[in-house]
Amino acid sequence: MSQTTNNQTDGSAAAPIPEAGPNQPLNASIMVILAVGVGIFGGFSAIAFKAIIGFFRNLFFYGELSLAFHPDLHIAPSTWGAGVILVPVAGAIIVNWITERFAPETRGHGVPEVMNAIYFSQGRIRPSVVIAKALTSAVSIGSGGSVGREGPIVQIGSAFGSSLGQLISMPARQRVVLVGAGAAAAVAATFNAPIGGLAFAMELMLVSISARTVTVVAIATVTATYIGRFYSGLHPSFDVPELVVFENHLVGFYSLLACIPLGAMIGVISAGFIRSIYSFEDWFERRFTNSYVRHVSGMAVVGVMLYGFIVYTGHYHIGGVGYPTILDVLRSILSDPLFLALLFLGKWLATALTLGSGASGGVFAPSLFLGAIFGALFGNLVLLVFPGSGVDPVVLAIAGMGGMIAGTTGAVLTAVIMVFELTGDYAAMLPIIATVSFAYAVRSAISEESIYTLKLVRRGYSVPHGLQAATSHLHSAGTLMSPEFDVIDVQLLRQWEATHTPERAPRYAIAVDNGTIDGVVHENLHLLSAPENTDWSIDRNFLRVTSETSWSNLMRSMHARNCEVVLVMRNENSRQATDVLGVITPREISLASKEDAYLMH
Amino acid sequence: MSTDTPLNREPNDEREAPALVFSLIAVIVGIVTGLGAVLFYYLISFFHNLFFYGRLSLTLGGESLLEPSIWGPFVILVPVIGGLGVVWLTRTFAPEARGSGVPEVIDAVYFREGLIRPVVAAAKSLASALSIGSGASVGKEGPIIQIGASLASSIARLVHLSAWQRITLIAAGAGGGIAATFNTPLGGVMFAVELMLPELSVRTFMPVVLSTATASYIGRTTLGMTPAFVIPAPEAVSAGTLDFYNIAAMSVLGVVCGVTAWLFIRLLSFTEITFERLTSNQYLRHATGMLFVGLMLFGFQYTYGHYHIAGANYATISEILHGNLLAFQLLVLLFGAKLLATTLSLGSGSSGGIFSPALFLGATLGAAFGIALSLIWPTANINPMNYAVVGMASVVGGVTGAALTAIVMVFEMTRAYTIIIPLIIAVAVAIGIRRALIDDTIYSIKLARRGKHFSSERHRNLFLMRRAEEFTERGIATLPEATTVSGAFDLLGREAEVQYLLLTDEHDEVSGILSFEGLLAAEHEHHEDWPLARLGHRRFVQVGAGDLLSQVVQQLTHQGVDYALVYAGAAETGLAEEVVGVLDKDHLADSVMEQFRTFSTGP
Repeated sequence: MSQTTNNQTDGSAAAPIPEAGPNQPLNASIMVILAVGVGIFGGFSAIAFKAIIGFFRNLFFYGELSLAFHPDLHIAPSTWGAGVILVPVAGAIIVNWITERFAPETRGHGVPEVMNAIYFSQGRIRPSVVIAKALTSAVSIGSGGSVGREGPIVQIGSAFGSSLGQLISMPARQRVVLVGAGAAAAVAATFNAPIGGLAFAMELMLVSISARTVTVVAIATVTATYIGRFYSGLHPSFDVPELVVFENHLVGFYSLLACIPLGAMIGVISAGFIRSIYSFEDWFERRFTNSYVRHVSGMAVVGVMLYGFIVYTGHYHIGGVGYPTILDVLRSILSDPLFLALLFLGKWLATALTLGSGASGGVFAPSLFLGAIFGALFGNLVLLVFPGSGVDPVVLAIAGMGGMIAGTTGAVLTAVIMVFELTGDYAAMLPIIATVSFAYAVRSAISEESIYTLKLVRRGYSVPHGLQAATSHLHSAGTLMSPEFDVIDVQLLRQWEATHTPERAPRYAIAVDNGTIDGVVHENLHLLSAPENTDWSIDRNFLRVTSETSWSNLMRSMHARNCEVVLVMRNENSRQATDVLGVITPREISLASKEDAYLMH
Repeated sequence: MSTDTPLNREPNDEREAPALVFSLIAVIVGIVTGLGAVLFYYLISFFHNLFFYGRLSLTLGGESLLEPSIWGPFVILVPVIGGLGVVWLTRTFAPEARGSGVPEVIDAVYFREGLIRPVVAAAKSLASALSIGSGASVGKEGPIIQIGASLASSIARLVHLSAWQRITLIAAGAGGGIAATFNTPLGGVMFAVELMLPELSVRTFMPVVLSTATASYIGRTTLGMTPAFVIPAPEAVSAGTLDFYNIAAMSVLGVVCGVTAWLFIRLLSFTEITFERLTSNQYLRHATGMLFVGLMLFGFQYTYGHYHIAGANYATISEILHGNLLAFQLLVLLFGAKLLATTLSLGSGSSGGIFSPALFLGATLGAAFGIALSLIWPTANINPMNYAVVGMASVVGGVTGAALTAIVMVFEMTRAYTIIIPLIIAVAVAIGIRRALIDDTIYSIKLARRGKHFSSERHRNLFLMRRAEEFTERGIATLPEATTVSGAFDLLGREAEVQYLLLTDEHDEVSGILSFEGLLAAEHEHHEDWPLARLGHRRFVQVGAGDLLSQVVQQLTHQGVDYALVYAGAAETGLAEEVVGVLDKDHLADSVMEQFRTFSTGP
């Protein structure tokens, strides 16, 4: 067995996880201090990122040098007139130059790259990603690309967390927590949503959720939000004053009921949205081999759309993060179903073109946009058909935002909490919850992967969808061990080997010398060895533990000692064979984990 | 553990309901638990009116302090009489109805495949309503969780759902109960996710949300829409971003709350053990404990005019949050008395939860802390009510270990979103401090004493997400099954790199797998002339090299076999030439250990 396993580990060259270093884990209080550092960086980077976006926007649209950026206000028409068509094109050339030249991983929406780093490369991200991602995404967003801020800021925050984790020597399991904390901090500061950031990290980033990891992430998110609030103030991102009247009133039964079909439809839309992003990507890649031509041609279409919207509607609407339009919907300024439908299709197309042709930016803001518009559209249509139903399109728009986030990203709790934190509208909580759950369920039924995980799946990596209880904690050495074993004197080993049949219980034999344990007999090894040399079949590299030893301590000790046999003893320091209670080998471990995987069978 | 047979835990009449039917059942669970929560509320009111005022009535002054009992000093005996009834109920019908109830539900979820007896719902409702109504210092959320869980488990068994669906419904019932009782839909979901569900995925999340939303809608239509604690103009209480000093002070409060949580857990455990040692007669035991509680009730009523520490409603917390109860000495006294009364009630055998006592402890402690601070440091802009809210969340978080539940629920109860930043910090600090002092939460310590260890840690089973090819043993050789053992040695030699032999029939299809050790063993037993067909394992599954380990494990488990043939392409043709290797169960252990090496945070 030993040979099988060794060959196995060495031979698995495809395994993406390299050997873990001998790093000592850091003390919990040091982790908290690092979390504060990650939070401070996250907060300031969110502010700086906004300023950089503002800089590029002012430069591209008006030829001005200014950092002013008001994500909630419609921007004034560009001074270039019809020349605005070339603005996204110019942006595209710069973005493409940076990504080609410096950091190809900054292309796209960022979150999959972070997941990739966490799950498959021990949380290592190159520090230069911070700068490259900030620049490319700011240019993409600032030049009118239809993408959002959350993907870039996640990548920036987590790249910093990762750099800190590489600078200071620590085990991978702590580094990935810092990566998650960086992502959460940046999201929280960007959206002024501390709990939303925490939930984001828990649902999408952290490999293991326990009080220890959540504490670190929570400290980072609140630090970042605190800093972010100095800059953006205390108000929710989408301040919806009109909704205060709903406070403490039951949302109408029909509004709640309408959330079921709304959720289902948004589930279908999210599945379509996810697919369209990747099919545009494939189409562009097949069609254009030159990456400059590819991105420029995509963005030229976006430029034409921008110009069309400004000429016919007075606002750019579909460009950039799109918050002003969402706010118009939530304030019931936009309610014409036909116009909403136009916005919906326009935004969808613009986002697919922008991301598919190779821009850098997030999918969160476009999802919020599509969800809000579709929710309002649906609500207004229901009102047209059933004027007396009392359905509120604004509540449905808020619920729609949550549904779309949950559908595209698969992060359900994040969607609920974040949309609440974005709007500050607690009365819409039940509609949000209902829409989110239906959207998520329908999307998962249509296509299993979220917009984030699909990218990894296309590269051949799979990310587990759910979180499971760490049922391994239910095990201790005592429950894992196989209690069946023989005890034989070293002198009589030959005789035992002659009569014992391999692969039949008891599978293990403990070789004793005058009552003291000498080693554990590998039942198969003796068959390979010369008949006269019984010594060969005794494995003397074994570990002694008590039956209370926890699963994780067992795993770590086995790894540290590089041994494959564990003897469970009545008393850890004893070497007496009479104190042996049972034997653990990889066989027992795999049996137990097989069962664990199906606690929820 | 040592058997290789498939897990024979599935009785024949259990089946997996289709998603749509299951969703519908979840809605029914939501309706039932929502109604159960309403019923439980009235049951408490009924017992409370009967025991304290000798009248038959279902009204309970939600937020106002309790009036003095008509029995005068004999109120001392009210908890004792109630307690005797509780002991009779629990002893006769359901011993598991004693205590908070949450550990019993966790026990059922993790260790008993989600089986809870239906009688628990009835017994728990009566016993807890009796306990709370007669003045024991316990809360109603533990009971409602157990009631909801028991109803859900019973519904699941009635329609013969499979184990995972039963467990999911239990979480849905528990979340629904708590959401309806406190008007906290998101808090209910969080509770189910953090403490109940062993798996968070689309198949488990959906039913929980459906049930929770339905239950809280029912709760809202019957019990009203207002938050559990109405804070007068929360924005006036905490205008603007709190300054840095307040946040720093609240972090210190988090430390204090962490220590309090530790004290609470230890003290409860200590009183339970002490009472058990004291006497084996449960009636005597509980009566003794409740006599002390009765004395304390009367003492508070005599000295301060109100009962304060009784469990029936949240009036005292509400008074603190309204700024009506801000005397430092009284707050400290209330804190100590509540700690004592709760541990005496639960330790001696009462039936009720620890959640609202934890809220009470946090509110008194936080307010006292805030007042002390403003005395020491009069120039600072300190509002004790904010400290009370932060204290509530921190003690709850520290005691239960459920950070998000504590944060979200206290927010939903008070709607004080403006202090969310210090609230999160304080909860994180409190949990950290409590963990440094004691590993167990108030729930897990009870199970740990029964030798059952569980962790609320959730992780992604990355080891199941690796491809089969990464763990495939590629040292294989193909031989016709008619070859004899000695013939095989002639062909392969002895020092072969081969780990497995694939045995083929006349169509070149794989008919069996034989390990090289098995071949050596056969020789060892002098069966040189046996054909390999007689030795090979004939049962195996066929998988593709690109298949995920999770799919492979599923197939191995379902068919109860040890070996998987790994094919290069997707087509599992059965032809030996397309097999790239063999995956056997031992290889899984490599993947498991690799994940542990990289990611586990350990207990």
